[in-house]
Amino acid sequence: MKCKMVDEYLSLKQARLGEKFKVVKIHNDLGINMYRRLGDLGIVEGVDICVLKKSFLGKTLLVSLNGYTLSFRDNIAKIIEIKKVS
Amino acid sequence: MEEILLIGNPNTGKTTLFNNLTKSNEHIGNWHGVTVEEKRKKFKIDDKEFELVDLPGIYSLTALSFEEQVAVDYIFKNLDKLVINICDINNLQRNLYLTLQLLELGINTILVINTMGNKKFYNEVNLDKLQSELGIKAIIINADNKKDIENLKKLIKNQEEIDNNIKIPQYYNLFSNFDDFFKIKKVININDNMLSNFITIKVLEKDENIMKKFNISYEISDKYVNKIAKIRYDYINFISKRFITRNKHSAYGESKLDKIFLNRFLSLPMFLLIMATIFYLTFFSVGAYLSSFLGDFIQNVLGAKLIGFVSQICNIPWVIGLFESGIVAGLGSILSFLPQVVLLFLFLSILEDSGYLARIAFSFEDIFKKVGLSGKSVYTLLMGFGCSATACLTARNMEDKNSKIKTAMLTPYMSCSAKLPIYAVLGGAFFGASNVFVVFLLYFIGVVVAILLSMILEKTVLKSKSQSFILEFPPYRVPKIKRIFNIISDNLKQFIIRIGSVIFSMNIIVWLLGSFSFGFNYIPTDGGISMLESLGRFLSPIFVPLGFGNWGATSALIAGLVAKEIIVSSIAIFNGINASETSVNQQIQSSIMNPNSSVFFTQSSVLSYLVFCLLYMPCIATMGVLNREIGIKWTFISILIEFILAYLISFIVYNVYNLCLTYGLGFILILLLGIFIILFSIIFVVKHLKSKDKCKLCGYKCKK
Repeated sequence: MKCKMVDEYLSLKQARLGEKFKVVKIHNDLGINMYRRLGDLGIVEGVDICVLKKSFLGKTLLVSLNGYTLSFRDNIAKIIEIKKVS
Repeated sequence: MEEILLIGNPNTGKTTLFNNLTKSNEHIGNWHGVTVEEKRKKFKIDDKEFELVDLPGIYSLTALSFEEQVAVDYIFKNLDKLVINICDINNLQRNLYLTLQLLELGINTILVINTMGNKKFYNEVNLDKLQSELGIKAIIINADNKKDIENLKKLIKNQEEIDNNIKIPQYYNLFSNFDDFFKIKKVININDNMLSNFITIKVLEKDENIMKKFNISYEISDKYVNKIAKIRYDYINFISKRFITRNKHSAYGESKLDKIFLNRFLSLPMFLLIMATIFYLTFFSVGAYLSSFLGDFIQNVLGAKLIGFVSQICNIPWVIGLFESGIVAGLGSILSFLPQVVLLFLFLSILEDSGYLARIAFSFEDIFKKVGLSGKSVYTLLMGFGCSATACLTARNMEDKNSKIKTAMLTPYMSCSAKLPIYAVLGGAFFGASNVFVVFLLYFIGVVVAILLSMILEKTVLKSKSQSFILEFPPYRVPKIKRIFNIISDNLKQFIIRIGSVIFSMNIIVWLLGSFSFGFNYIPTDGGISMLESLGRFLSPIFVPLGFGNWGATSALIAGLVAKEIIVSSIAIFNGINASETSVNQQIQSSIMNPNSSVFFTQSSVLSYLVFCLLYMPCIATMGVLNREIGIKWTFISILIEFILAYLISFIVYNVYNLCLTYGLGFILILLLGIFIILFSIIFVVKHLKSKDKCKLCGYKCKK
């Protein structure tokens, strides 16, 4: 059995503070409702995203996209696949 | 009369617009999900009457939380009505996502772009071009500006009169290119073409609520969900490139203040400091000063003059007694806390308006997650310091049912403003200046009990299912003077109404039951045992182990179930406070220290009484809200837990304090420390034993 924690892709969870990334894909690991809601909020393929801040334990992120700010926990950050903007 | 729906994203100023259009005073705040149920009110535009319906904020026509469901259901029931879609100009791109769905549904829409009262916006909009592109009327307003509201009214009247033919957004045909589109459309049995198209898209988006509502069953993969969102956002990008210019580089909600408030290490101490300051100011400095001022006024004017007047015109002892102890002493003991209660609500509203709440939610999310709550609970719990009943209602913006039940159950442990007089009067009598520590300790106990209870519930019956926490960050805002006056006058009004209705009538009931025997003899003149005393004597043995087994203290607790303020006023009534001499509260304080009074305490029993008041069942209003929000079963369970916890913890406090008095503090501290060390080592060993078969990488049992 494979360990889930070994990452197969670069996710927003590994993103460094202040660096700009492009969303490549949203993974559907947290159920359809969360998957849809991320789309509603503008986290779709090709959008620019940047992590602004992390909380005390580093598990909650503050990100900016589409000109506004949003905060969520690393379980959501994990399903957002990103790539570096060159 | 035409109904108009007010729809928009959370925290875009819907209720502000509602208040200004209908001249009402509904609660607003700088946080999403302040409005949790529909609110309606009539208003007139040149003699034509309309009814405006304010709905909770939504991001899309697919609901996720309970309050969003309210809004979405309402929209689908009223598809033929005019909709005012309000958008925040600073975050227009995201807000337009909802607008597009309204257009897809063919709803007669007015787009209201709210500048949120800012002078500099993040976006500049070319309104004419945007209107012709979207095919709807749009207007840019400041929801607080009278002239803008008048313009909007004109627009509403014009729009309402014409039967608008909505232009379907141009990207719409991209949806029908999907393979499953026509297959689903065939399954749906709706005549209206536009509605059936829209429902088809919602099925493609796997919206279970809508599928249930329209009785559709169709198995489909989730590959379209993100594609549909992307098509809409691509269109928004297309619009925004042409008609919207960005003025600022920073993101909306980003602020330099966050360097301090969101600092990894400073954020939590900062919050504690702010809360401590708020409670210190309300309880001890400004609030206490204003209270003693009002107390003097009550005693001199209401007390001395009113009672003098009554005894002049009527010489029946029980009438004078009713005025003296039932009305003046009973109400006076609470009324003098008016400034403190208003001040507390003012501070809480400022916290709410400033946008700081979202930052607290962010900072607390990690810790709250560990104890089984969500950062979003912060709002409900903080509002619980004001009033538990209204706070419990806001638990609706939780997404999953278990978190909602948990949050609502824990809110009563946040000591509400009605308990403030109890702490001040009873604690002040025995602890004097060091009452500061007692009050802080009480609030602290409430919070700790809530956290522990939440941990237990999370591990046992109420495990949170959905692990989502998504929170939009509002910008910091400085509350306006006008708004501060509004809050003060609103709370003054509510407090006085509360005193005039519930507390006034309850005081008279308590006085009647406390001053007459079952044979209707007036006790002070005829002697005998009053009705409440008989009841109190019957129940008081329960509380003997807690140190306050006298009938008065017991009866006051029962009366306090109606409203917590009544605990203090009942004590005033039972102890026969004579309102015309010195300050009511000083008299209560000296009477409860006298063992001959009906209600009396010692230092240890008053502590246990305060803890009991903090933790035992909430008032009837809160129970009613709980019953409506989480059902009779959970309400009953939470009441039971509250009583048991109150009893246990009061028992511990009473006995430990007594032991401290006999054996000295140091001995007890060492004893407690020993118990803690043993407990922690047991927990540590158990955890260590458990973790053996866990994966070294992730810490979970991922390997079989």
